Amino acid sequence: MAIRVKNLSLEIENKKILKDISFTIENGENVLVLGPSGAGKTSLINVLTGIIPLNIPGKISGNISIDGINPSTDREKLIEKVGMVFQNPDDMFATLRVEDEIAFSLERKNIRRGEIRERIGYVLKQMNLEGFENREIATLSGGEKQKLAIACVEATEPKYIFLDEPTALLDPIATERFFTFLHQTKRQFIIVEHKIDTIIDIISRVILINENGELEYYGEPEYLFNSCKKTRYYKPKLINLSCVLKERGILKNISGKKSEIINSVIENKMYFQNTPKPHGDVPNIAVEIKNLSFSYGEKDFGYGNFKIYNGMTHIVLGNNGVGKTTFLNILAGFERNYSGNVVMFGEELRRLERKTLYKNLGYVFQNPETTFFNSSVSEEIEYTLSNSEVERDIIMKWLKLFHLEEIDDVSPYNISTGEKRRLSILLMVLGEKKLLLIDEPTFGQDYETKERTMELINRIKENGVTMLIVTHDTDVAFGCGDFISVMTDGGQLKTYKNNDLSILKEIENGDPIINIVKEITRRQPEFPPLLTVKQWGNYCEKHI
Amino acid sequence: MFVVFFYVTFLILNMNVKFNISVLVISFLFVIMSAKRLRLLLSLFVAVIVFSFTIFLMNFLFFAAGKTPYSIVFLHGTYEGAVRGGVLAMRAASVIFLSVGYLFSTEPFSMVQSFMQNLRLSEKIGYALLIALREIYLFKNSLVNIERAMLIRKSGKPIVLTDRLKMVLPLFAMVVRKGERSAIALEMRGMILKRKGDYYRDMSLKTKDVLFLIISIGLCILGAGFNI
Repeated sequence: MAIRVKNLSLEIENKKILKDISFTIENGENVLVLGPSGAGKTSLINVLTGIIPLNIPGKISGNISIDGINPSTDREKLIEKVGMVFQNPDDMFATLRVEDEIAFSLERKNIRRGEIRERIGYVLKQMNLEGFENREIATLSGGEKQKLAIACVEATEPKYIFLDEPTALLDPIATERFFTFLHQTKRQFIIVEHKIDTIIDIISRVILINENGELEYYGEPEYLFNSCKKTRYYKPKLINLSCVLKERGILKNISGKKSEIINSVIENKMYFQNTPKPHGDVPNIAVEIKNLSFSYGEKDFGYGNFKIYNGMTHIVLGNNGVGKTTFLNILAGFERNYSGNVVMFGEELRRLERKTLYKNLGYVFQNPETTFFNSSVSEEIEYTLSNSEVERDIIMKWLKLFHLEEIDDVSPYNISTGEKRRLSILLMVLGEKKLLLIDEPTFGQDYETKERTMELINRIKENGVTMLIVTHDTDVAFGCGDFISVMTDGGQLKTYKNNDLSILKEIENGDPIINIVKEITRRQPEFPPLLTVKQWGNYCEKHI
Repeated sequence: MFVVFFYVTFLILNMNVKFNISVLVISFLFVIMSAKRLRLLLSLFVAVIVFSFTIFLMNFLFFAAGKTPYSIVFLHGTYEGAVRGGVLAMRAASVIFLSVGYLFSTEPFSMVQSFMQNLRLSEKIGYALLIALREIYLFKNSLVNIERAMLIRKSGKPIVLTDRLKMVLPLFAMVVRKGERSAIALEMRGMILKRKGDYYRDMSLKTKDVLFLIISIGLCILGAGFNI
């Protein structure tokens, strides 16, 4: 028995989403579904679980069989076999407390009360959630909620678990732990995920769907990834780094193994080329924060002192729940009951008039849809225009810069994820704002969309806008930031220049490039600040 | 809920002082027995006493139909006003205790579970109610963020009625989409399967519930039987 898909095609509202897809997933194979945004990855999962056509209308042709069950017609039998974890765990919960939530699915499978109790205890232990039985779900962190979601599924002992971008809302540490827990369940899983670097070790097959909804590859991950052939899809960072090093003759094989890369770099004395550049003159201060602290419910954040320099991009790195968004909310004037001083645009923030503040300040929310309330992209722009004194020419310049000039009559809710993000940034930067606060600009984005967003941030910087970005994405931090601050539990901030490798001792996450540089600098402290694949590429091009 | 309906019906129909005293006692006992946040309840208790005393005072001093002069310490009113004020004050206190007491003592999840187990409320409606409760928080959060985004996009100019009207559509869309996603997720978790086995939390009537009901009805009948 296995999952068999033969000549599957899917059409939704006369638009072809998937075209003639065939594959067989044998017992025990864990599968990663890859592809660019809009390729139909989620649609494939929805078809395999019967959500399309039973909940979302769609025209399916071809054959699908999950252990002999047709998901489109026999959902009750299918539910006995499969469990599903969604991107936002909150969508899955119907009760208020942890144990009630796990019991929900078990009650429906006619399991006796005593056994329900036993299974709850077992999964909570397995997921490292012991003692959480009576905790209110609302009080759990993002990572804990996603663990609870998988605990709910695991308790029903399904044969297959389908997961649709389950770590989109999680920080790198929580993501790594989530995959460890997923692996521990020993269930067979099929997952849509962008964070390849973290998941690569626990998958055995890859399904690659291209932008036309066609199956481009189905097979072992090594065969797909272990080559330096230029492709449109994202490859693990270690493979990309290996390719950069192989091109320069530093590495012989493309295995993507950490130890091989480290040894080759050290043997080739690459570190002797280290010439960190001085950062230049420090510009004027745009925002000065002194002894800032804030209490929110039972949480206390002591942010201390912080400076934002004119025209610079400041990054605040930190895990879920350390107080990054609260910090932005204070600077945006949304939270005024803080202690300490925040001097912005030459005035104490509390005393600044709203008009003065928001004429100069923009805020890009984590969820771009928060910013939309008109029926088309052009109406959104006109709305902002009518509220500021900006000339049409300047607007057109920004529209072109953001690659949005061709979708001006489309509803902002019907554009792609990347376009939504770009539009939300545009609407906040219009009006010639001086300071832009950005909350998690790349969350839930695929590699290509993320690259574009980062490119955009760098272009905004070129236009003289000062930015403060909070994120847990180290690519954004080291690819866009001039200054990088690490926020630890309790809100304490430690700031470093982008080329200062002493920041590495503050960063604990599973990013393979950072881990490699940490190891190299441990063995040889004189090493250039190369924390993204791009930085390695540029450095090798110049010096080797 | 049966107890609440029972009390409210009798409160509306009856002006008997003793009956009202018995109802007030039962209401107060009910809240104290089942409540978890006693400190909060104590502050509620003080507020209710002040509120009820004001009602009593207004009726005692200014009851237009009162004929028999009556004095309490240095206050001069009418006997009829005192009786009416006393009854109304106790009635108000009972209703507040019972209604607010429910909020403090009963979890929405337990209440809905109880309805599903004892009153055969459809599970689809029960869980829809719970999801709606969870959505209130999400709705509030979204509204706050949309207002903030609007304020910044308007460069700090005040948000007027036409702006507020613009917020309706995205908020509505958010709630609908969230509801849709939750419905799909719960269906995948087995909502459509016919439950035949045990509930994890047993919400059936226990001996203490039956005892409480009997004592309540008994006290009410006793109180209603003795007229002042």
